[in-house]
Amino acid sequence: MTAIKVQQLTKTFVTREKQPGLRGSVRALFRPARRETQAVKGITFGVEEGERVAFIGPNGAGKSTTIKMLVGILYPTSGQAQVLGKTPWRERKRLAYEIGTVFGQKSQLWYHLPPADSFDLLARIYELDGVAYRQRLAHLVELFEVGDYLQVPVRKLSLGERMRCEVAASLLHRPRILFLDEPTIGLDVVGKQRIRDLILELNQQEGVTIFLTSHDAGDVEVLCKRAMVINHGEVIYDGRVSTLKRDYIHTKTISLKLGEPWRGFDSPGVQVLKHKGYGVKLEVNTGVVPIEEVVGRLLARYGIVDINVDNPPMEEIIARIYEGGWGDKETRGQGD
Amino acid sequence: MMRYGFVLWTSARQQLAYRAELGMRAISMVLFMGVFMALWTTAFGVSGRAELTGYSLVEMVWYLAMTETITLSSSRVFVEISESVKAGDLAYALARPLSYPFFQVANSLGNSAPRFALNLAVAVAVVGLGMGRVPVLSGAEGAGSLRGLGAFLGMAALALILDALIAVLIGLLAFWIEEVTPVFWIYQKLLFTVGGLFLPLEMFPDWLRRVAEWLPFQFITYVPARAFVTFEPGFVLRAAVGQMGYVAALAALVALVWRRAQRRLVVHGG
Repeated sequence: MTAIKVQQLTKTFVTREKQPGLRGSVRALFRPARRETQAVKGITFGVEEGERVAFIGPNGAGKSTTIKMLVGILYPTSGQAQVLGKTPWRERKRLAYEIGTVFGQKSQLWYHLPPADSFDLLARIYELDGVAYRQRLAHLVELFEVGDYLQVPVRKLSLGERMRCEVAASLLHRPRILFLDEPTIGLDVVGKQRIRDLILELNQQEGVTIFLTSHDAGDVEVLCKRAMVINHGEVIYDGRVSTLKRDYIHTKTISLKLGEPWRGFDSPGVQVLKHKGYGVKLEVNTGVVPIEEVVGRLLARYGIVDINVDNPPMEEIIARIYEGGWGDKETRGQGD
Repeated sequence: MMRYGFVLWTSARQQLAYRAELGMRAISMVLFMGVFMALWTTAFGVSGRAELTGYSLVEMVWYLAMTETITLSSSRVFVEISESVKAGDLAYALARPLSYPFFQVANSLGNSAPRFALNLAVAVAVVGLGMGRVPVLSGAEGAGSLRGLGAFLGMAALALILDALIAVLIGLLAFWIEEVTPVFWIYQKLLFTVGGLFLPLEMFPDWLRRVAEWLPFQFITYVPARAFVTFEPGFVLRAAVGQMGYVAALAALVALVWRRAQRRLVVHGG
């Protein structure tokens, strides 16, 4: 069954502009100058139930605007959308019972109260049956391992702990689609990994459709089978994550602090970005040489004090997609 | 309705976490009432009369204690709403099967309720000490009789609902104007003046009193305090009907404004 169907969805924001100075202020008061910004430019796509889709792009690409239209918070300027057979902005409240949302930058938990209180409130808001709610809560508490701080005020939790509670909170009412907007933002590596594992488990156990936005390529790699890349309000790639990875995310950067001063390192697929004393930054083409091999050889030769492996930034991936001419209809792959 | 009740309950419990703030409120209540008692004792002394427009000194001080109890419990929920509108993070509240403005009304009442309980306790203690007796406890009639207290509690609840609705309206104005705080200041000053916070409506010139009686502001401050001071069934009934009428009217207005706001809902970002 189709979970999400979007056709030619467009959102144009109208912003008022003010000329500088007092004259500008006075003029803006009587005849405000308007400027239109097209945040989303006629995008079309479909998502099947149970799919895990990443919706990725740099800041300001139109990701959040799209998600806000899909959950019914934002009215589109034109176009159609159906989420579980409902038009989100017309049937927001009814749709709310069937979808869950996690917005990484905004908490849904009451700051001074323990998470358990927020869960209880949500149970009331979603009109959950008492017994069913307690069973559901027990299950989620076990799965998310949040039992220890269920009674600790949210303000005293670490970001990672809080985020696990946030995701659990959005699942209490058994949503069929989970919208996650930057769920791992600000988390450390371990925290990110845990959230990703949990989301994956949930999708597999309960068949929840996952619709995720992120500007972290790592989220996408681990979590999703299909990725849509959005830039300047347009979908510039829609296909398998594995293809995206093979074609566009085939490099990683490694920042190292070595045990000995840098003397150079020759290997196909490895490019030295910069080096100074004991520190070096390399770009590894993982299509040519696995990252483990490079690290292993460096370890043997220099010893490693500190290491950081990063994905290329979204902007770079997008630049590569444009270079690869993916935007042509003929080459567009289909997500599964 | 139950759901909104639980929002109120949760919000009230969160409010109790702000212990320092509650403490400061208690202190300001003590200060205000101390000043008022001193001022009106002097004013009555200078005038040489036992009554001013029907209020004795004791009644006057109790009147002020009750108007202060309500206004110091007044909602600041417009801050939260207008900031959410500006920051574009109404998202969470909106992705719920609830009406956002009425969620905020419940949230606001939850904020007000613990403050109200504290303010009332402090006011009764301070004025009771300062004026020599707590009428409710002594079982006497007159200012602060048991019936007066009962009427006051019911009418104060309606007053806080009115206040919450107005605060939500002010918050929603953020959809149209950049800064809503000045609107709140105007509202606050209207409570101070035509609402009868500092002076009961009986002390107004006739024309102003007639105007004030038609406005919603006196239903928030004057009416409950007056019921506490002199309990008259006729007055209480009329005033409560007036309060409920304004609750219905303002709730309808909130719903209307919200529908308009949704039309132009531009959640920034993305």
